[in-house]
Amino acid sequence: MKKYSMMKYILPSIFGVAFLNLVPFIIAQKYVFFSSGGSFTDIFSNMGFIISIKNTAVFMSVFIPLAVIIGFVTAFLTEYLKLSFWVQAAVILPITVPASSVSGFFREIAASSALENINGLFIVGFIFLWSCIGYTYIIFLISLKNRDKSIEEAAYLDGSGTLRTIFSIMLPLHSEALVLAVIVSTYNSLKIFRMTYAIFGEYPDYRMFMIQNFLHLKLKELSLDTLMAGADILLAFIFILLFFILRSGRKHKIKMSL
Amino acid sequence: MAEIILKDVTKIYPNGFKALEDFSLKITDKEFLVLVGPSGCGKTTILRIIAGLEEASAGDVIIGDRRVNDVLPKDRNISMVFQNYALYPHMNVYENMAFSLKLRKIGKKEIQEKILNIAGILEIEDILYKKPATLSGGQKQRAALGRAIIREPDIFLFDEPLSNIDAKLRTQMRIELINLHKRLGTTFIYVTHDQTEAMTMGERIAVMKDGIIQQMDTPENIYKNPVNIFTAGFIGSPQMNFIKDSDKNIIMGVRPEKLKISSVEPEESSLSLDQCYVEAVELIGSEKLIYFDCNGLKLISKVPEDIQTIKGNSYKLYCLKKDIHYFDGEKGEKLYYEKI
Ligand SMILES: Nc1ncnc2c1ncn2[C@@H]1O[C@H](COP(=O)(O)OP(=O)(O)OP(=O)(O)O)[C@@H](O)[C@H]1O
Ligand SMILES: [Mg+2]
Repeated sequence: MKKYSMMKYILPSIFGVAFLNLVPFIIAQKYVFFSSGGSFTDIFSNMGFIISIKNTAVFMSVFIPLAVIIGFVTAFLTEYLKLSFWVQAAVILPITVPASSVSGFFREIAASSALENINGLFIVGFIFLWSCIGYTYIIFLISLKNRDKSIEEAAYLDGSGTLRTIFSIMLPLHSEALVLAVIVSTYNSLKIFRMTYAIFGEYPDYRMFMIQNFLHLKLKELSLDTLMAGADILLAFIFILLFFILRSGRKHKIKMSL
Repeated sequence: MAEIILKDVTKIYPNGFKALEDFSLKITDKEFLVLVGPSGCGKTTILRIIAGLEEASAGDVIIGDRRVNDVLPKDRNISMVFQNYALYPHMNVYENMAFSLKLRKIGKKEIQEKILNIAGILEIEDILYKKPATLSGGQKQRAALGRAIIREPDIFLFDEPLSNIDAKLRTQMRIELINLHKRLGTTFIYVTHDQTEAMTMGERIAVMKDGIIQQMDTPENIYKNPVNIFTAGFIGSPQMNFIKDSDKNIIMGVRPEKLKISSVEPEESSLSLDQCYVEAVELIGSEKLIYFDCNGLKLISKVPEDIQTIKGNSYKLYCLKKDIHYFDGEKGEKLYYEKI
């Protein structure tokens, strides 16, 4: 009964997603698989694609962990040092700010001569952290607030120091939050294009040229076979990433045999 | 040497609540001390201050011959068994026990020897490779005990460790803990709100109320000579009977086993009550509890099982003068004969 009534609410959105995203995506596969040339082989000889995928990979492997770590550390400090309201607000508020409203501010910063020699990827990374840490912070804070404190206390009494307790006791106990934080950061990292687009326009510095920039240009050029091949690769990449994240999360859960 | 001294310890929680004020307590080396008192009286707070998990707002905490107020929990060499056991959920029992030893860089082989030895004592060999979530309450309790023992600490703190297991197992665990204390020869501080547990386990009992020790003595002395009406009422089951004498502004206390049923007055001087109606009778093994109503005053008498009473009938109750405890009508403090 309950399941059925739940479905009433979920079904429309499943249909929505299917009609607006899934079905067009599947239909669009014809550009990849039924077009004249080998889209996949072509795309790997495309300089723009190679640069964009390399930048994306570097970006994700540096800034997603950073967003997760900074979120955790801030949440940890909030719990232990009772960080002031203003610090907490400063961390959380950016997630409520729309990209366009602050793009001017970041454009000015990015254009300032002091940042001239800095790799553009780091500027984008900074903006990403600014806009994403609020999420990871909240995820960890909720998880930390719901924990059984006596488990850590037992560890301290057992002779464990703070760092040891964090790595051996706390992180494994918050592995679900960890998985969620990684997923949310990954999602946000894919969304960061909106921000960089608003700030740097269509043709940013090649060092911050990422996969979405590439896809966006291909869409504009209407080279649909390259676009779809790129999108497929991105999708495969995300699925593989998700698979590993969820699997490592599940492993922890099994280890705890909860 | 693990003598513990708390000297004028005050604890004010961040929200301003004063849980302890000028609290002093001396626990001698190798003692089994039971802290007993109603919920919220500050028992856990004391344990946590001794363990270093909570900072004393004022006063000194001394263990052995050093002041430990600023010593981290990990450097105090204290083991604590928590009420909810606080086992590490992601580790099996073996790993739970090994954790502290690994931190001390003890070799794998030695760790294994120690664990197997203790597992033998606690009879938990068969659950060593199970995760806490799959254990029963009693098994978790033993696992937590194993983790506490293996470190060979100077002091053991127990925070109501038996409250989550069933009555039969609890009785058995009490005995095992007493034996364990003898075997280890370390200081045990045991917190409970169950007076039966306190009476059966402690070498000494500290009875607490509202962050203040009311009385600290052997179970027998506390039972025989409670210093105030709170201790008198808290220790002993069923509770002591209280009879108010408004004229003299005193309260008389009589233990149920000292309240006798008789048709003949005893020769010794005594207090007697007429017209006590039997409300209910409860058989507890070789003895019986008889609930009386004497003109609105509720009294309980504990008598041998073979004494017959009929429900609804009235009886005469008496109590020898020497068995009466006298308390001040207002302050509740014990009054000694000369003052009455
Ligand atoms: N972190 C805290 N912040 C504020 N007040 C607290 C805190 N911890 C305990 N208290 C208060 O201090 C008093 C003593 O608490 P404590 O936990 O020591 O009681 P207890 O004797 O162990 O009770 P119980 O038998 O219920 O475990 C209680 O009134 C409690 O509400
Ligand atoms: Mg308590």
